[in-house]
Amino acid sequence: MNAKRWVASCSLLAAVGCQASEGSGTGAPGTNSPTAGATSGGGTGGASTGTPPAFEPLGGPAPIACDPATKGLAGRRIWRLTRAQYERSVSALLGDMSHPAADFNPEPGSAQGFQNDAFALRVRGAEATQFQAAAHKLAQQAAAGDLSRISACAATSLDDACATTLVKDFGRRAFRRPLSEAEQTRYLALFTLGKAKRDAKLGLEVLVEAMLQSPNFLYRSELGAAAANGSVALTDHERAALLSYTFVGGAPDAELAALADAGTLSPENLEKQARRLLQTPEARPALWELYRQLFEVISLENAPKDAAIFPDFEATRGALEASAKAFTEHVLFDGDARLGSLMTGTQAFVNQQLAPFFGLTATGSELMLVTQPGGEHPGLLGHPAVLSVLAARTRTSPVNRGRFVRQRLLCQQIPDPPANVDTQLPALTPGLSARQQLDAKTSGAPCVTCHSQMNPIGFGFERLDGIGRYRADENGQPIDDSGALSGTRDVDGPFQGLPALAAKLAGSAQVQECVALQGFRYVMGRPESAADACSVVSIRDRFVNSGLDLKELYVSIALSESFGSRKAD
Amino acid sequence: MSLLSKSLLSRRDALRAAGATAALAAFARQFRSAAAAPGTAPKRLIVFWTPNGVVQPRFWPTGDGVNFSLTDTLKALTPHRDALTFVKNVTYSGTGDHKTGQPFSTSGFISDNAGVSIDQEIAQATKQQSLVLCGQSKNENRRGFISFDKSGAWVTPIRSPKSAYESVFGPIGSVPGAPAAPGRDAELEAKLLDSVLADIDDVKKRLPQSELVKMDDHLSAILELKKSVGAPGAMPVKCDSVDGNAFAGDPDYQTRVKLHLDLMAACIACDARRIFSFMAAPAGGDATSFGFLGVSGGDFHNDIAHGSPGDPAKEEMMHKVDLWHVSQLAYLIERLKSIPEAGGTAFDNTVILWTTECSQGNHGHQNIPVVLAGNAGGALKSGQLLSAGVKYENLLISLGHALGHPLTSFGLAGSGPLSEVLA
Repeated sequence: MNAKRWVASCSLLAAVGCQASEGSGTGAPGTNSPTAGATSGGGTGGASTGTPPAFEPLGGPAPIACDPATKGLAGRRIWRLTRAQYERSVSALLGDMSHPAADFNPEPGSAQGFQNDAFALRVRGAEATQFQAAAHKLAQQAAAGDLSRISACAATSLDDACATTLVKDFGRRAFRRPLSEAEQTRYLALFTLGKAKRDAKLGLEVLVEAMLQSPNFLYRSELGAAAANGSVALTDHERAALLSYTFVGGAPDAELAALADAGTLSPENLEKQARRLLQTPEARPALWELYRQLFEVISLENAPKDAAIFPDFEATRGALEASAKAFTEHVLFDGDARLGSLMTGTQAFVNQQLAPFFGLTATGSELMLVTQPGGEHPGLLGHPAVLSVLAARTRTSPVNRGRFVRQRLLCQQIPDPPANVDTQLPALTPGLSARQQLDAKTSGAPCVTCHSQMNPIGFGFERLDGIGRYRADENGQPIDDSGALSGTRDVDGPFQGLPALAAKLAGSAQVQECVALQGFRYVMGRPESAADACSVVSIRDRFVNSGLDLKELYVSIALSESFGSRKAD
Repeated sequence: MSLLSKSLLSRRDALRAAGATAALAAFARQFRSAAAAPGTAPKRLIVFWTPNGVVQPRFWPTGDGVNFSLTDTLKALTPHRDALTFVKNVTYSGTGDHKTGQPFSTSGFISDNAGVSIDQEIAQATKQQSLVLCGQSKNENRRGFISFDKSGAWVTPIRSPKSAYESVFGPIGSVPGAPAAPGRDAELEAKLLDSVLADIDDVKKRLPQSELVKMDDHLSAILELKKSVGAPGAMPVKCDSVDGNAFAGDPDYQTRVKLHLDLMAACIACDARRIFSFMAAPAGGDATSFGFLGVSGGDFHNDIAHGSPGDPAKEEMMHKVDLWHVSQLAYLIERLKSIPEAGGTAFDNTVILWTTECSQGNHGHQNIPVVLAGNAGGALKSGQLLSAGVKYENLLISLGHALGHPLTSFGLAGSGPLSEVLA
């Protein structure tokens, strides 16, 4: 374990710390990896969990440095599609928009808080059944629908010659690469069998159904071809798929596919394609997904809120998420795409329901772009969608808000409270502020060791209530929103209120590096290791030199060595 | 009219319509559990799991041995009293919390991913497919699940009733008892899966060692699917005694739980599955809403549960949740009792293990609620309150014995079956 990841002096107390909360989860979302903390089990056959990739965390107060001695690449792998990627892939193949993955098991998630972890995404019994049922239904619908979607000839004459073409063309699109001779023969035989059993349409149905269940469709390949000098370059088809799923969340379009087929996906072409994809409408939801997971908006749907205290909240969950998404996409695609704008921007998207969150009034259900007069909600950090998730059921949570800043924006880790400590806060005592009561609960040993790293940051958020609305006082009591940062590279010291905190964080080199690192973790779908340091440094430097342009961050990840090369076995 | 009784009628209608003796024989083969001779009915295990303990002082029956009386909390189980075994003074290993209690409750290990759970152990040993369900499985939930395979990996429970139904019976709306569509016979279904297996094999050859596990997982899952193609007891099971439409949609928590209980009963009626694991919701900080119980001011179990010892208002709310959990268990028993089998009912051949991960809402591993319902075809004693305390792993071993899998060890410290429990 790299001690750098831990907040100074907190790490030693990992086993005895404590983390007061009030009902809502205080940890990062999506950490229920089926393999998290896996120990060697019985190992008596059947499925096994394998060994997760090493996590040697980079980031924290010391700048990440490129050490040629430890420089390396991650191993070759396959990467199962997430539910969203599955749906986008299916819709590109068949035009199906019915959300076939709606009933699929959720992604298991990773310890780093992202849902696309390549190691944890598996096909076990339940998933195989779900993919099977979906493939069956989709293939049936496809065979009964417009066959020209599958292959031009299929709509006019679905004969054996057409089937040969169809296997090649549809297979190429489904597998994101040309099929081998052997594969073509095998799939054609499946068509022929279906045709013999009933008719050519049944042949087409089972063909599509088999391809949709094939690992060549369900997993993206990062296996590369021949190794040279200890490294394996991904094939053009693999790099095209990696690029496309990264930038638009789905399989390569015709232009990108053609470059891969022609073997002309040079680094220059790759960069050009990355920039082209960023201009497409599909890039918006694809990039939003990183920030949705990084800022934990993914937990908004299920964040527990007391209906007696926040009676209107239930009805606003959907609109709140849409507003956070609109703001982020606006900054990234309609604005200057700067990290500073994402962190401190004072614009907001509101409708009648949401305007009161920002101290405004509006009419209608359509989201409108407005400027906050008081600027109390800086950027995505100050958005009520984020602040609601980072608060408790009945009140704010300075602990969770402080934890978020440490973990997600400064790339430092706070250990979980020990299992057998009661982390529940007592009911609020009238006359005492939440701040005073939290201090009372956590100021003694051993709690204070870690809480002193979280609470002072979280106290700076106190003017935003349990669902992220600005408040001038706390039940008539004045609010103390003075806070302090400590143990950071470059932003230690006191601050007053959330706008000041957001501005400090946006200007911090540690935060800028951390955002680059989080982008790396998400795009690569894995935790980093020391071997990635040189790639992360190149990504960080390009990002910083671009003036902290978040679209350039994505491009720089795609251009890094870790992106397109793998370690030879 | 209940789902099953309605469809039992329609099955009789179908039989009448079929007319011919040959058709009758075919149906009789398909519904072998309903037709089984006394003493030959298959045995079933259901793990019925609820989170966050109970209100301890209001839970346990009074008395001892065969002379015990149910408390108000347990009133809904009154008609089934003589089929119940309450196991008092069970202490789980671990640190008294959710995180260690949850895996211990089914595997006898105090961490996730450490060892196999009893349902999967028995399923594998008796060569049965299991059905693993949950009412709630939150994405952000940091607690685990309760079923582990032989390697200790989680068997992810299915939350969607539709998905769960289709995993057993095939797509909703498919014609029961017939091929899914003309031409889709067993040969075609098998060749289709062979194609998937061939692709898995190809990918496997190209993988580095560290990635093999993914294709091995996938391979086992497809082989499992293939086993059932065209075989007796095939999957998808063709069974007309269950109406798939009842499982469509995306229902609320309360309805979802009911549908999962209905589905387990349907699987038993059709002998489609014999081993079940049902987790009502994960333990700990998961936010399951109990607003439908009129629980107000604190809609969430974790808040209520944590506050319940010593806070009368919260205890009352926790009690309401306890009552609901008990009513769900009673409902499941009633469903099983409504299925005629071997001169009695399917419940006679079933054992349900009800447990949780903590003794009460604010943690603790002493006096964990442990209840057995049913005697698995006479293999277990029932109608008793055991107060002396037993080693919990040995209770799990006893379930293995009852289901025809005479385990000698299990979990960290299991050593053999309990004579107090085995008949």
